[in-house]
Amino acid sequence: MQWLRTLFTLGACAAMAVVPSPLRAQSIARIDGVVRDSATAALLPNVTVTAVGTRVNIATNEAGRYSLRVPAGTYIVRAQRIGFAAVSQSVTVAAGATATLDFRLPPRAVQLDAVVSVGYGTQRRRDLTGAVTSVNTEALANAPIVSVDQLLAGTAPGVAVSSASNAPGGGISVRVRGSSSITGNAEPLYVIDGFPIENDLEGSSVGDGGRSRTVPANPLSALNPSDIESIQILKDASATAIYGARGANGVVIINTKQGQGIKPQFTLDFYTGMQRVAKTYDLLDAQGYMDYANEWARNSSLAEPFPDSLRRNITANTDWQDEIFRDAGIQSFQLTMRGATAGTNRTRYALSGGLVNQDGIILGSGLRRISGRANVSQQIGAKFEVGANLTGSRVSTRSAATDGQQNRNAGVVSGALQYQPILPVRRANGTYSYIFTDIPSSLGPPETPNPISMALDVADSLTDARLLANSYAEYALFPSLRFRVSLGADYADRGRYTYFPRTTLRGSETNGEAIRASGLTTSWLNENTVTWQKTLGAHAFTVLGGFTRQAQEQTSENANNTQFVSDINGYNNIGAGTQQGGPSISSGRTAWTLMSYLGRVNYTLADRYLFTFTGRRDGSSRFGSGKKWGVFPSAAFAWRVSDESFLKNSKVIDDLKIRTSYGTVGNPSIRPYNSLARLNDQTYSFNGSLVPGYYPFAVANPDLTWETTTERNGGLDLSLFDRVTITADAYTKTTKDLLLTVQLPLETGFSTALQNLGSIRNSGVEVDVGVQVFRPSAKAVAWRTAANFARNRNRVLELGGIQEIQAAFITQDFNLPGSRIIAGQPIGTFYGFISDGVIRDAADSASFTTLNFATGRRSRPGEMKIRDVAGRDSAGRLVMVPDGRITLDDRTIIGDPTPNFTFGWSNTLSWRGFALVGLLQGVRGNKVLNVNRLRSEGSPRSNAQKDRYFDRWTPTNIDGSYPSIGENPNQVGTNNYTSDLLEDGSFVRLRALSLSWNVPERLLSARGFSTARLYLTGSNLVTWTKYDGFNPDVSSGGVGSSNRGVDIGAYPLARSFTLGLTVGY
Amino acid sequence: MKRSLTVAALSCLALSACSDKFLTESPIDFVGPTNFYGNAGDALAATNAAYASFVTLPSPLSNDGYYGRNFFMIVEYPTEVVTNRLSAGNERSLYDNYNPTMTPAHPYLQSVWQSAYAGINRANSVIDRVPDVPMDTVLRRRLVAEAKFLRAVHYYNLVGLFGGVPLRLSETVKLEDLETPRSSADSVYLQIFRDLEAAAAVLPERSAYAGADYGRATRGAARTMHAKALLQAAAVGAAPATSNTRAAELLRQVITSNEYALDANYGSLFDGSNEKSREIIFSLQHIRVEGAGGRLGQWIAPAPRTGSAVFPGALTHFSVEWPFFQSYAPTDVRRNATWLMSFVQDGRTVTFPDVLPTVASARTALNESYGGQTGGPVPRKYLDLGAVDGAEGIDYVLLRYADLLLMLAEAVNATAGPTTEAYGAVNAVRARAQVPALSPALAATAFKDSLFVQRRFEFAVEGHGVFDSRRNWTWAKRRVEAHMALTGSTGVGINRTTFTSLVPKLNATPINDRWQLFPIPQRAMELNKTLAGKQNPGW
Repeated sequence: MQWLRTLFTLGACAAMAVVPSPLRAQSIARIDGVVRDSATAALLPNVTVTAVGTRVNIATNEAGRYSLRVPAGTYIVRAQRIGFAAVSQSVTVAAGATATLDFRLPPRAVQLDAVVSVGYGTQRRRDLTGAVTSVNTEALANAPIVSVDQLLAGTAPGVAVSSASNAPGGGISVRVRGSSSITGNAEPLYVIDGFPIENDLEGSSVGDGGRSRTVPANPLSALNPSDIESIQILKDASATAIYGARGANGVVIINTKQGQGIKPQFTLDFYTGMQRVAKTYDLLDAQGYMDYANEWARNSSLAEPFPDSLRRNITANTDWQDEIFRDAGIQSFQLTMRGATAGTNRTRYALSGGLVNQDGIILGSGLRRISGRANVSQQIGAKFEVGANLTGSRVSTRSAATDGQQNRNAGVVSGALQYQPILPVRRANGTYSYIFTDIPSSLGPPETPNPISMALDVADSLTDARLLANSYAEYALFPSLRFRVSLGADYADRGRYTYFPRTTLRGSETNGEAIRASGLTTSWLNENTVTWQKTLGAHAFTVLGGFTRQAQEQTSENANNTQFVSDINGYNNIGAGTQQGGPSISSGRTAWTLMSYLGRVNYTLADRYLFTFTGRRDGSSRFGSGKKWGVFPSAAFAWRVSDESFLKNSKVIDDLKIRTSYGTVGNPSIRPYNSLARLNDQTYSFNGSLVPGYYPFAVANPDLTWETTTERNGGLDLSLFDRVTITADAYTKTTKDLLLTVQLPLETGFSTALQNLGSIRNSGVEVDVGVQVFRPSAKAVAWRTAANFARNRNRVLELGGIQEIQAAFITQDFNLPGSRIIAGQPIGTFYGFISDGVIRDAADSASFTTLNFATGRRSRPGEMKIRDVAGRDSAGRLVMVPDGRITLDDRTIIGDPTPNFTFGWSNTLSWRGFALVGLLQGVRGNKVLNVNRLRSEGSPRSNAQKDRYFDRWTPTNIDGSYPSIGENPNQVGTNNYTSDLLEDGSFVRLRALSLSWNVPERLLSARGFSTARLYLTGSNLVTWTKYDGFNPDVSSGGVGSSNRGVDIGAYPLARSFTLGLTVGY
Repeated sequence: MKRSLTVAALSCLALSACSDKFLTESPIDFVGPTNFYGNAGDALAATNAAYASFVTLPSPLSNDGYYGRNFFMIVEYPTEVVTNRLSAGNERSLYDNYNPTMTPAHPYLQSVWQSAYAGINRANSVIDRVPDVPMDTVLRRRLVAEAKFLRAVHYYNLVGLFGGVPLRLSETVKLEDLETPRSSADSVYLQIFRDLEAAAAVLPERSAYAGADYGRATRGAARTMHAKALLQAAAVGAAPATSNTRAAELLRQVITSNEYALDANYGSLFDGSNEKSREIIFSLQHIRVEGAGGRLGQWIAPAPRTGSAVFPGALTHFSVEWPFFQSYAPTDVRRNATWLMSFVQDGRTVTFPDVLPTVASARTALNESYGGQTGGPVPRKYLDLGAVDGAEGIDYVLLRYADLLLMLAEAVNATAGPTTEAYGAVNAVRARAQVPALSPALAATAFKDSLFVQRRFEFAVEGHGVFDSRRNWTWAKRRVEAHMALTGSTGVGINRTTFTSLVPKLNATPINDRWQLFPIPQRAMELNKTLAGKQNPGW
């Protein structure tokens, strides 16, 4: 590895030599011309014309005209525009002279010359050797997308997106090519305008609003999606190795809009819309509920809780779902100004300001974002360019408690599903009803707080102010040798302020409780790269070398107080609380640094054989002292078959490229200081007084290091008839040195240590197909369709000798066992009893003779058939042989929350100024654990689903699909669940359907407008699924790799309609 | 150009030089070994934390795991003194009734094992690191000696409960050599002797400590503990019989130091009113501060069947066994000092009648007079009514003068028979308890057995139970079996409650000799491969 290190050091040194030599007086020449469509001879505006190998480029104006100022010499000039094939021509121009060079561009449905970002540079799509997906954002262009990651679902194969919460600003979890980490962060690396941001939702969340299990807020909601020009997803090791130790989870490169054109363009974008909950549970009304409760009592040999005498007096018939949900508005307003000046000292600028205001469909929730962006670049002569991308935003979220728990800490949704219709929202005296005291105690009601009190009275406000700035200077020493230095900073100031007033259960017990949490994250980045580009005969080289440093620091403060004199000040005066012993306060500070050398060689032989060698050497403070540095190399080869003589003139195949790559990347998801030994404090007393103590709490692991993913990828890009494009990839990635919390021998005095053990494999295929069915033309309908499909198979190979890892309890209310990570199985499988339906009658019962440990007897008609799968041998060892008894040993793997495949299908139909765009998104084969049903199918301590009551087993309805009404028939013993709660989470969703109309130019130009577009979009209009709950695309357990696919009072999905207008001037 | 390259190259060299610093992590919001163990304050804090390992063990260990509950449960339940009043299959009853279904997987075994080793690691950290701390030499040596005393107490617990265990004598600082093979009981005791010898050589006498240091290990404590370990080792054959002579010597040294004496008021030793009594040789310090107090309250306090609890979460998990309760001599002051005979519940004074001729009347008393609580009278020792769980202010006494006297009698009797010195020691304890002097001229065996009966009365619920039983196994087995017969379904068990389907200690007579040691915890065997095949006999 010494040679690699030397290479990197040399590269870095070269990159440091960014001292511009004094500008020499030059003899300036001009190249002028016009660009036309070769099919229609129409003049083409916005064509980028570049003197190849220089930084000189310009866009054509409305009249298709351009003018380049260059030093005298011979140039290859290239003209390119989306939708057309690029054309290059050679021209020689003498000092002071003007050469004329006109272009005619042939229209192309298939884009090979589109430029994609590959990290520290760009490449033409035709030259790519790795697996890089450009996200097709067109289908969602008119949808009310508030956060960037919403753009990824269904639009890019191999990118699985699940909503950890559908609340405004709620967390979204993204997996590129499956989960390759068990306990670490498996979210991809986001690179925004060159600034890498580790999207560690759990790590960057500030406070939990006083709820111990909750979904963290989404840090990417700070970025305004309307500012985005392009999103690229780097998937294979060849593509991500340039991000080295941070590439293993994939890399999402987001570039924002830069200035273009000649004259300033103003764009006003406005939309307004309405959202409504997409689906609700069908629950019993008051009469139905009381029937249900009475039957339960009869079956349990108890007195009926609702005898007729009582029923007559119950007048309430509350639909709690109606009470918590509302029709919520959403508005967005964005003004953008983009432009550029002409000439050698060209200035490009893109400025924007935006405002989004989104109310949540649950009372009391909502989001408001104010964002501003300034992207500016300045060319200084032909060699030098400086620029900066600056964005600032402030997101304020009002959070309504949802997700995660069911009893005392239940959120609004859980509460609404549990509260019985016989309870009014408020009692006659105006106070909130409370299930625990207002329902007959014989039913054993839970201590779930009133959902309306939670939604309306709890103040839970999150603020996220973020400033992301990245400036750069680029210098072309020779046309072939460019230096770039960038300096960036990311500053995020987050806060979460929560107050539980006396009107809430929690506040009434503490006389008001205030929680204030704040955190400040600052990160700076310095990158220095050098790029050398040269063509020598049949050999073309692009060589990149670089040296980068990044440092991040995070500070946090938390304060908690109770016993407030009054609720007037809410969380704003935390000192007013009179908690015994004073408020509890804590603070912390962590920091990490990263230092890297990077290099990439692209070598093209005869324009057909493409080689890419990439490597990065990362040193990270988070790694143990013995493992600070790691090298992440990769290699890729691609063969442009279509450029071989035997295919060159094919009328069928326009392009065919076969790609293969191999490489190693890392995942550094170690929290800072995890490799260090740590002491914790503990007090003791002598002579009746406290004395301080410190004891060894964690043992050092100097070998703690990144998780290593080795990935091979094979793929092809094919385009046919200038109409069809196909990209297909197959991959296998094996991750070893997984970060696991390993149990230590008890004699060490420690319980666990974080170690690198175990391995996991993801393998799969991805296909992306685009077809221009009907080409655009002046009169007829044009139709473009694109579909993508991805299948990923995930297997835990081994866990370093451990049999299995049990995740934390799914809810603390019931201590439901969390998902398990078992060697040989997919990650995070559900673990419980298998239920084989309801015992119909005595005959059925006779054939089902197992003893149930929970009841101490054989199951009876109307009860569940729990499958006997295991027993114990004479030595007490577990054997997978039925033993005639149902015990805890009979719990087994019952499902996998990971989909078998995901797909997306978008269609664009356009006719004259009209366009109809639709996007279908689908997921198949995943299981969802619907914990809501634990209560809604349990006992009448909660309200029940209609189905569960009317289709129950009774002696006269022996074919009922639900067990007889009894005490928690969906549980076996306490704290266990059966496969009955596990549902098929497959779905197909019409994510967006949008109709837009471009106002004809002739109506606009007279008034000075360049464009005007009206659109109407429906989002999440239909979801086809068998899932019983609000939304199968759910993960109340947050964003980790275990306890995924769990639904506990999750914030439901909204269906929305928006009407928008875009005007350009 | 040339110059810029030179500049670049130089800055690269500079960068490489500082790259190590750039990437080095140092603790900024927590304490790590790199910013600790630097001065006397740090050394004291490390030592204090070693004491705290008896009181509160943070997650993932449990506060209940050691002296907060589980240690007392596995040490006291197997005697005839207390029961947990739960049904036969309950995990607590497995000890209570010598249940044959008890396995090495029992969680209390693991928690006690793991907690003791967590404490050992804290002590090891002091022993390893404090000698290098720049500070006053006298204090430095004392702190190391204190840690050696504490380490010896943990190993004494381990070897007494499990037999030979792995000996870890230095702090775990890296993830290597984590699996330590099992040592013989002899070598564990040898290490305990060595540590206590070293501690006694350095530790000050009780009176030589500053007042603010009350509660720290003293020379007297180290010697008493040493004698205790010698007796235990000799009795189980892990040390030569001459150990008894050495034990007697050590105990006499403590007596002649004149630092300690019997307290006239037995009950005051356990109610928080007399925590600096001259009788107390070493106690775990508790104050009414969460995390720095005792935790037995909710396990020992009476659980009401109706009305409010006299202690939050009270569960009556240490009910006195009825035959034992009845066997106190009528004059014995220890009965009413050990068991809660009266308390105030909901403004009403609840009293357990002094004389209960029949089981039926006892049951009636429990249900009607004794607050309707479930189970028999509960311990009064360590019950801090008015405190909350984890913040109970009463110190737990580990070593006291009465123990010293009875150990002296035991040691002397073992080598020279029941001499005057031995009789004198026993009778001092009996006299304080207001029970008649021991019948003179007993044979050595009878003397020994009577000594152990006396220990049951004297030290009920003080954490001596199974250690004493194992020091005199045949006697203990006979006695517990006899009580089992008495408390059987036809016997005088009054601890039967609505929770109870079987009377405790019914299950397993004769008691299997495997109970002379608890099994090595299952989890310990799984995680330390060198323990494979080394399980205690019969488990």
